[in-house]
Amino acid sequence: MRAAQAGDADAYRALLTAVTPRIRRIVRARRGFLDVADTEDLVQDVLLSVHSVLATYDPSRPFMPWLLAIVRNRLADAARRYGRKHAHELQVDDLQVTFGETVTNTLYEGPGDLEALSHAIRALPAGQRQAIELLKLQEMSLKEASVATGTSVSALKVATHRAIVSLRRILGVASDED
Amino acid sequence: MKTEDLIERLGNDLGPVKPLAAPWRRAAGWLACAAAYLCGVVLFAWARGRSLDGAGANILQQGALIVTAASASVAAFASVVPAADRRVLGVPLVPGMLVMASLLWGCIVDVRLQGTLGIGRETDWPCVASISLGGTLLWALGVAMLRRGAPLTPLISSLLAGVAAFSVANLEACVSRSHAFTITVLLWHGVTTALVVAVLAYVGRGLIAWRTLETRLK
Repeated sequence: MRAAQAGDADAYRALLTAVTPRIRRIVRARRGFLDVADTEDLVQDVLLSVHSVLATYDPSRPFMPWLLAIVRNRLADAARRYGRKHAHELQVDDLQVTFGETVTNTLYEGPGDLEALSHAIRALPAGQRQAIELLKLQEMSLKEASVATGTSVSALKVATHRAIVSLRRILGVASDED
Repeated sequence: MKTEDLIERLGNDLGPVKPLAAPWRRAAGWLACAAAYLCGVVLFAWARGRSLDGAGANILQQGALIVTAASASVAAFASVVPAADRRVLGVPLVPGMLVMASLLWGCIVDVRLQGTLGIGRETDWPCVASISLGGTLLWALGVAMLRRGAPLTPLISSLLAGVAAFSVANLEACVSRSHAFTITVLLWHGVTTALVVAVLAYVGRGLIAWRTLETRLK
């Protein structure tokens, strides 16, 4: 450790390599419920902490008590983090998945009555009709439609939104906003 | 990242590290700054013609404040050293209790000599301002020094730095301004100190933290 404090990188790597199995054993012994990845995360946390407080080691004192104090502290921190995380998490064993429902897999959502849709589009005000035709039927991008009509992108967005609301109303489709 | 790769990276990141001085040496450095602040403010008050009647008015209380500041600062710096003796963290309690005892005794003496405790007879806003500002300044200096250490118990480290800083700030307030009743000191100084130290201890918890050290690394 003295060599490491003097800047000897090889000695430092050798030291960390030597203490890592011991840190890993302590983490496993005290946090046996953690999986391998979480254990390794904790070991790496300890190594980072050791590295960030190298200056606090007094060369005239033994190394292991200094290291174990850091390990204990990081384990306690991790336990607090773990507790906080799990206090806000809800374990759900049997998640209701929409894609598994029979209704989802049996009903076919077709295009509906095309004639009625065509009539409804023709009944829209000119600006809204143009927005729907360019953006939804001709599948232009907002930028392209803006250039073609000389209307701003935001005005096109507003016109499209209003047109869709009107179409839903005319066709009697329930809106998401309802 | 694999642990072996992390060790390799840490090795590459290593430079020569100067070991921190012993906690009492670091505390002496902080106390020197605190003493300079104390002398500066008191001399400024004296130069503006204020009487320094408070100096030496209560030797026991002021002595206990100095010992509290010294012991709390040593404890604060010891709290950021892994494997340091944790018993030192409790030492400031002794002079702290002595300060409280001297204040309570002062209240009893006031009742006996003046026939009243003096609650509500004085307001002490100048002391509230000087204690809050001076204490916060010295606390900030202490926390800046504590950040060069291991944040093992951030709340306690920050709290001890606050106790040390506000002991000095209280000493300055007592020396610069005399009070007719001890209860004024107990209530105005005491409540200000308790409130501001509690807030600063909480704030300091975020400043003295592992993540601030490790962020530098990442």
